[in-house]
Amino acid sequence: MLSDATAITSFDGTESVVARLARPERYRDLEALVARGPAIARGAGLSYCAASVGQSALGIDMTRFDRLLAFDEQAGLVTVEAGLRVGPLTQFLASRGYFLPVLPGYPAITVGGCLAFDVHGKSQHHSGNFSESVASLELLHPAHGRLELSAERRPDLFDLTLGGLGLTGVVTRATLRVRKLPGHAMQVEAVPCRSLGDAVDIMRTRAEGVDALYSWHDLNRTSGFGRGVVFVERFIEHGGKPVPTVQRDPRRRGRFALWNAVTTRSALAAYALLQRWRGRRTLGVHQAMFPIEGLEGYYAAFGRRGFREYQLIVPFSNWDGLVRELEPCVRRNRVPITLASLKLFRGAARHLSFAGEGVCLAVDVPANERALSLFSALDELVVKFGGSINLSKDSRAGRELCRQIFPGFAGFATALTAFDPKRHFQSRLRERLDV
Amino acid sequence: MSSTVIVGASSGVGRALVRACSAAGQHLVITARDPVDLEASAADARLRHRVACTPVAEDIARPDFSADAFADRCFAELGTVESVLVPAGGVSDDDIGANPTAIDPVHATNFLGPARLAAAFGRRMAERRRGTIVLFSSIAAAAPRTRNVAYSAAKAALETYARGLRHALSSSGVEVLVVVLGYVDTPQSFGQKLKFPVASPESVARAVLKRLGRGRGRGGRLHYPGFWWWITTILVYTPWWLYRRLKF
Repeated sequence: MLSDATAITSFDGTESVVARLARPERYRDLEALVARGPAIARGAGLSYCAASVGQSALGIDMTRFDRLLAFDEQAGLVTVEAGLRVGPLTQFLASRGYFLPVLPGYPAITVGGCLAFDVHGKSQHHSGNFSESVASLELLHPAHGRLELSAERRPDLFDLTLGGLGLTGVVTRATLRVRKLPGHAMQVEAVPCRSLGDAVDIMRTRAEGVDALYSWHDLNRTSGFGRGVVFVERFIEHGGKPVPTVQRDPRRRGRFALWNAVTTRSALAAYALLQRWRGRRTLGVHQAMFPIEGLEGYYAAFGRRGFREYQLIVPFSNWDGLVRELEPCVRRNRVPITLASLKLFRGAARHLSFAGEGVCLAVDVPANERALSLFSALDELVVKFGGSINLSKDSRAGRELCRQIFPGFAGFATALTAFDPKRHFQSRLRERLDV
Repeated sequence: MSSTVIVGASSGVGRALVRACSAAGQHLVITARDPVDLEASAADARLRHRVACTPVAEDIARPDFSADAFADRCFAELGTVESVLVPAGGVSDDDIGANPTAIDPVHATNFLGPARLAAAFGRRMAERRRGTIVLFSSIAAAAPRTRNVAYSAAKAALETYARGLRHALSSSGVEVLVVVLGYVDTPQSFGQKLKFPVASPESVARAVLKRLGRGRGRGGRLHYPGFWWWITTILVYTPWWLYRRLKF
């Protein structure tokens, strides 16, 4: 029933924890395991940091709780178990003509994981974060039993659990608000942009009435830093049926690291050419919603050393300032940037969630010393420009930095301790943040 | 539209069978001890595949469990029952070496319950001259060891009972099949270091449905994964001086 203590590595390959796991299938067994001692719920295990394992905690794999429980078309509500993956959920909803307005980029991620990190998607500029589509949820805590939470019932605890890093308890089921699917295909338009600033101008003028919006940039170029493409996506009427896709293991890593200055520059140049050549195209809903599916090789190519991602939001007013300081900062640290992407964000900061109003920038680099020095430089920029970082994609930020960045940090820690003074739910992430 | 009863539906192979049968468009009665798990599986089958799926919470290991009453209820619910699948059963941590208290509960879940069901459904199916009964055994039945002594005996008893029943019902158009399972990726085997590959419950369900689709008269046992037939056959004929020393 329980595995022996084994080393479990975070998705980015940089945090490793020796922990025990269990994968119950019955509610009776789940309750017994949660009550056994310190625990933490685990979904697909695709958090970039070690959020679903802890040295002293039993990692409870929820992936067998993957059932659809209710679907109310009139009200636009679907109730599911927390271990259900968003790919199959999207497939089911699409077959009934509905979709989830906020989806992460990879279909294997579970609903519980989306909830715990209050994830966002390419629709953030109009639909906000995942928590905004959660109508209610059921939380299991050994000291409090099963709690039904919503904006009406225990709203404070409901709010604390959405983006609560799994530390309030195990979410067993959730009711999500769904929307009518405008069409079974998406038209993707690739608009070339000259720089990061240019991309934001294009995105802000095109944002109205667009279903998904993001950009891609090459930050390795000596001339034309940040040249790239803005992707503007809209649902269109399409008679085609949803296509089931092949699932590969995104956690697989190659033996060798293939990304270096030369391979990165060539791959990115080839990608830019491909986008220019493609121009406008139509994708099936599944393909358009989960753009990372099929690109598992990108992560495998980082090898055993893994990679690191930095994702930040800065207010619109500070974006130009950040971009000005970003270029010299990237040049100084000389690390190949394998991915750089922008999204637009709306909304307000909520405890430790990745939320707020402004521009979101994500940067991937191979994990090494220079990556760390680049990231500490980025930390300074984030603090200076009043930004925020994404904890689900970070495996190094500590308590001090987070206290500076998140206005709700102290409030989160206090509320968590008030609800669960014994700190029953534990993870490496919790240890690192010391909340 | 065919109709199936699945007993032991809340975990492991049973759960995968519910998914596979509902995906194949079969109407279902599903049974296990805990109503919460059953309701969830039934809702999932109804939503995903638009089949009728009735959860019936029942403990087949209870001494006063009435297989006849249960079978009547299933026939009433589904009109008729084409097949009954009984992946119910399980190992007990107490079942090691000489332990008299482990025998009764282990036999109730792994032999008595499934055998009573096979008898009750077999009789009703024979009257209608059609139907299939699928019972689940384990490689442990052929190779009993220190761990799970009573479990191995219960599964061996079930296999013997099934062979006799198959013979008894052979002229009445009812098929009795035993699926002998090797290592399957269930909560019991999770996290264990095993020396042979572990089959997914989904692949077991696919193999069972494929075998059912092939029709009758192909022998009453199916080893899954197939290589276990070779292993168990070799183990059965392994001389004691060697068998005693085997570690697995």
